[in-house]
Amino acid sequence: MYTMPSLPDNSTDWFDERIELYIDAELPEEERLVFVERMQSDSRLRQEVAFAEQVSLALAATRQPECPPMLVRRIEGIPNLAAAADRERSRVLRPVRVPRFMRTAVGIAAVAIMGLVLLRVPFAELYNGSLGSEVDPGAYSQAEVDAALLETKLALALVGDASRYAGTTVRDKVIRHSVVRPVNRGLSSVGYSSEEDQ
Amino acid sequence: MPETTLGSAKTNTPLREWFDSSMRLYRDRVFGFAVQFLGNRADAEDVTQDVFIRLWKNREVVDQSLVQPWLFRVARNACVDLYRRRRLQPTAVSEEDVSVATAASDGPGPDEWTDQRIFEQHLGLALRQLPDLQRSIVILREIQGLKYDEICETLELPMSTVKVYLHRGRRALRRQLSDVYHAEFA
Repeated sequence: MYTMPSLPDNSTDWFDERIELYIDAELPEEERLVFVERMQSDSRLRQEVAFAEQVSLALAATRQPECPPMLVRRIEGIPNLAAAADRERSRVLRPVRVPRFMRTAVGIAAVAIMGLVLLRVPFAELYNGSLGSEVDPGAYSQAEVDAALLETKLALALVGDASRYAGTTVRDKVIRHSVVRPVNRGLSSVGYSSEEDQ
Repeated sequence: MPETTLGSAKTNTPLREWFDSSMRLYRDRVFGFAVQFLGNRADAEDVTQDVFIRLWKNREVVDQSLVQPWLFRVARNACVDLYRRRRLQPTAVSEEDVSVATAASDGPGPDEWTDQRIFEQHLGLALRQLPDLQRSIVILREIQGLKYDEICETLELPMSTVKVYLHRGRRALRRQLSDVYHAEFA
């Protein structure tokens, strides 16, 4: 015969556990009979059990809230939204990567074109048979020199832009050494000075 | 055996059917869990939607025989994250608080119903003052009616731990409520 041990007043854990087992109907039969007997004689225990049962019943009777219709529609639409997002993602254009050699080639071509433009006068002089002859400073007017300078600056700007778009390293340094300085030297040799020199 | 079994089908159609059936079967329970955990319907809606988005994203890897514990686990993690991120505090009970509202058809008369409802509202508040794990286990066991092994599967905890936390949670609930109803039960 199971007998409930006499416990001190502070043994609430032990009672709590028995109360829960009793409510869950998991107390062994022998122990349950003793527990019921104890309840009949112990009003405090009876109250504790009644309260625990009330809490347990209130929890068990909790109504399951239903999903609001708007939320149901949102959830139902998840697969379609995901499919639409996948389609959209596949449509996004990816940036085109220009190979390095292509960029270099574009830069070299730009410099070559610039060189040909600047060599326009020597070619003409060669054609006229005047290359190497002494240049008479008075053969060019100030207006012609200014026009040539303006044309040179435009050409330089074009080369610079082409270089920047091509992403090459042939920019200021190459242009300055290969184009600007020779032009200035040529101009100074015939007695004119560019704005940079001034 | 049809080729389009739910478990192993590679095409999207059977997975879509499985998703739809899971959604119909568990959406209210997931939403209910979130409402009871957070005590806030708007946040619970966000969590529920997030849970089913994750279910769709993981449709090919989720074990379809274990979808219930998977859903409750994801819902619980989402609730805990949201709770911690926003540092939600238990608020005063409002009319919108349905976490412990019982069906009126089973309830007592109007006067008693009012007392009962107030008691249930206090119960909801006390529930949300429990630590995360205790609260999860109490909700899953007492409200959602899961078996012990299902709770173990959901929370990936051993049976002994689940029982200990359930015991602590129940005891904490009773103590908090007995403080409120001290005069009645003292």
